[in-house]
Amino acid sequence: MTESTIKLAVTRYRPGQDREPTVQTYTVPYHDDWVVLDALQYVKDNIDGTLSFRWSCHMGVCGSCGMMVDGTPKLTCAAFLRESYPREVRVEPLANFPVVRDLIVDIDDFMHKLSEVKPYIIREDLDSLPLGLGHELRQTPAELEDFKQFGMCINCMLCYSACPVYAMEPKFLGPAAIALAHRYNMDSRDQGRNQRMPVIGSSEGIWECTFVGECSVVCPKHVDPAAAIQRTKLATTNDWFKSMLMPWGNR
Amino acid sequence: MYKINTNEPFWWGLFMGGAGMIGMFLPVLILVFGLAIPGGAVPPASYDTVRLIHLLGQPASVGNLLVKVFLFGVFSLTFFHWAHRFRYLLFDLGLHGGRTAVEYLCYSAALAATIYTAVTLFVIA
Amino acid sequence: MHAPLAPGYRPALSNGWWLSNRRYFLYMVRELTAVFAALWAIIFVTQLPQITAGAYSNPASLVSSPLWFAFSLVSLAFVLYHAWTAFNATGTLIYLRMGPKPIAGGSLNAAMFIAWALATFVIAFVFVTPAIGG
Repeated sequence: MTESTIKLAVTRYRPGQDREPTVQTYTVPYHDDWVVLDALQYVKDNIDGTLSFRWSCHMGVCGSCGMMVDGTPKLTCAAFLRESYPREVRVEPLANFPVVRDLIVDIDDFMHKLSEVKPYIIREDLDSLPLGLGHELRQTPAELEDFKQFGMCINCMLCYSACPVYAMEPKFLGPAAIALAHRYNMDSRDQGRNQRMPVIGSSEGIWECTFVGECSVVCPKHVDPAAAIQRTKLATTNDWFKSMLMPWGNR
Repeated sequence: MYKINTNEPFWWGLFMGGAGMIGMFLPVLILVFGLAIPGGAVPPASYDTVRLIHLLGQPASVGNLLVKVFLFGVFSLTFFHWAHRFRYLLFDLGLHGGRTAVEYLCYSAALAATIYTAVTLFVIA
Repeated sequence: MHAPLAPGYRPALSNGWWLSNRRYFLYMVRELTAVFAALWAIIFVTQLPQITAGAYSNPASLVSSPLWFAFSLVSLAFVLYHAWTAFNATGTLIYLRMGPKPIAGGSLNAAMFIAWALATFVIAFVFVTPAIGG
């Protein structure tokens, strides 16, 4: 009995050697419970050790293995071969990012933007806070509800890959960075909103977004970055009109 | 507070105002004045007694002013809503250069249409 | 912000990107609704002086023409699609929490549709009913 197989059409790009990416097709065993990442690992172990891709946890937590699967950004550890079988699976590097090699993209731009929005709790009174047992910054479950979903982001960048605005205007801050900024802005324990807003509210922040909404569709963690962006636009607009109409109202 | 490097909130505010106006009021305006009356759902004898037309033709009255303010509000925000969407639409279709010029053109056109509407409603009609 | 790692490769997005998936296409349709809304509005404004002078009783006028009817029909379709997308985005745009649970986005959307139905009915009634001699 012959083992069933599936074809994997993988984008190759070798810097300094290829001028443009090319497609290389591998035939790998087909298993009902294999994900695309399993197939890529099979190629690397058994067929072509030079194929390069990024992965770590193999369980949808680390956010490293995002690639274009049949044209859609997905975590390859969560994209089953059976979704394409018996057709071939097309595997490409995440769209909208510079390709470093094969399926590996350059994530520096995102990492830089992420650090710019200060995605961590900022306290103005940190030095005088009596932190420690019994002095925690308390939060009710209701207050947690205000930002919880936005904190589920694993920085996998599928949303950037799905975003045509980011593709056309690379300066755009982008979905995940804004969603994470929003997560901390909505956190009752945080006091850093005024530090984040000049970055998020800038012309290259939320305003490039035209609410295509695809970021929220592809998110593997069911975060809704599109909502974070639209809500931030609304809040910024409220602040802007307030500061214009009542300039004395500012602290 | 904080400072941002852009007036986008102002344009976005108008855009959102227009989004609401278009959604809420344009369907019924189009239905009445583009389809129902021209389509004959309102009998010919009563055209001049249709309240909007009647109120617009009246000399200054509270009803006359209310109708004019309502139409001005709906249409002016519609124009600024268009301007905002259209500048991004051009960008989406591949016009990536001269963004500032496109912005000026779009919002100027909306402003011109708004002034024209004001003049038509409050001076001519 | 960052130069790509040389000699990296960054593929460009084609101008036809919005044809590559259904949701992108519907997004472009949504954006296009604004064109029809504004066009209908500006044409209606240009016709207002004639309308108050009785253009609807005059078969030769623009607002009595089949062209105006047809254009209005197309515009209505686009404007209704705009309304659908706009009201369905209410819960995405507005986050309200009073008490332990946030108000569900679906409820906010539904409130908009109800308000829309009421506004449409009232305005149609007020505008179409005869003002005199009714």
